[in-house]
Amino acid sequence: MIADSTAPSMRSLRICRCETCGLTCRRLPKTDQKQHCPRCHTTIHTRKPNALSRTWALITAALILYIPANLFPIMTLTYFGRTESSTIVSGVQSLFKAGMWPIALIVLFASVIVPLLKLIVLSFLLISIHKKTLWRLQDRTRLFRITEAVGRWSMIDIFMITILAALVKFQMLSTIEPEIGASFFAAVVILTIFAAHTFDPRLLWDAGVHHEK
Amino acid sequence: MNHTDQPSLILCPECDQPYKKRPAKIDHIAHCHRCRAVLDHQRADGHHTLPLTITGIILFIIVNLNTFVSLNIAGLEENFRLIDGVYALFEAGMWDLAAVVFLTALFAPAFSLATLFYITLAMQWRKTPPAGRQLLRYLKMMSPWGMLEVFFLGFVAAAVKLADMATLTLDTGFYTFILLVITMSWTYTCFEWNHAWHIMAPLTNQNMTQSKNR
Repeated sequence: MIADSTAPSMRSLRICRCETCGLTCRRLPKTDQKQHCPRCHTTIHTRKPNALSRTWALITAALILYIPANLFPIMTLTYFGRTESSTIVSGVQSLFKAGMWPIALIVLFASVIVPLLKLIVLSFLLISIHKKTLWRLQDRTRLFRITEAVGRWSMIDIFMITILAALVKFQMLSTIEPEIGASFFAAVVILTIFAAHTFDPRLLWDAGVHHEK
Repeated sequence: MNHTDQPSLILCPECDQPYKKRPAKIDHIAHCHRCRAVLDHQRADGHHTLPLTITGIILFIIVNLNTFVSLNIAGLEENFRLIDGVYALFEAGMWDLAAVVFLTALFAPAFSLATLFYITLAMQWRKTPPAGRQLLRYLKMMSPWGMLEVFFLGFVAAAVKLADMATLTLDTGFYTFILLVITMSWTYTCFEWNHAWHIMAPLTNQNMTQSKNR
């Protein structure tokens, strides 16, 4: 399953794939100028530039913001005089209490579990690259693929708040207002989306090429 | 910068494994042997993209002109369109959220639909249009940011939350929205990226020499 380490890697031959259009190109030997894809004119890289440091930076930022995102309330509901501020977790709790299990589970999964899982998985993948391990390469690549695909669904909570805030505007009777927790949460989701984008799964497989040396 | 010596070479995007290009079999998915990433997927329904795009544009316009739902509490009624959602966030002072929702629920889908229309039209006529290359690039960058399907689930969550404190009536906008989401997903599935690149940015010897001298 592991590639023959005696065969020259595409990276050493400076052959690479354009990120935007998929064309297989060969970079010229290192020059100061940026090199461009002949088809789509985007800059060509053999590996995503600074993939490890960028992804670590984005993950760290997301982790830091994850705390206020969950501590601060995401919305305030005023219902016939009663005011109730809810955080992400308390929002899920109230859905469960109201007996709406399917939706509660979806929101719990998408807004609480998924962002955390993304951060854990990406950290795990980054550490596995640092350790140059060859453990279950295909599974780790598949793990990354799933992590990348699932990221956008965390936005469910943000859209839910948008709709609630736009609809429930009955001045004296009932209003829903978004709170600062929502901004933090949106930032976390976007940062994790970017983190999955800056990560280069090919680095996982590079460990196999250098391993035998 | 020149094209590789073997123009028929393909690299796996996730593990860099090289493969020789083989004539595509319709409706067969080509997977990388090492990491199971999808390398290529030629579909039989590529020609569906243009009519689907046009349908998508029409539906998008209808969705934005109509209200989604009507909420009724103790006789008072409120309803909203997509833009009202963005505006409500802006009014509440959360302009950053407003910007994000505007991008993911309005701008990105609108831009993608318009660009897709321009590109699929050019593909239909097999002519390289002006700015084709740039537009296809922008489409590639912008399309992951269209999150209408996620918006739909967010809407369902909001509706469920509201159901016990008020009466909810689903309007035209809602049903059209479902159709829009289905249409857009279908469009993206049918769209043939490789063919699009071939038309928008054809590789000629002249191209390649130009890039060498860049």
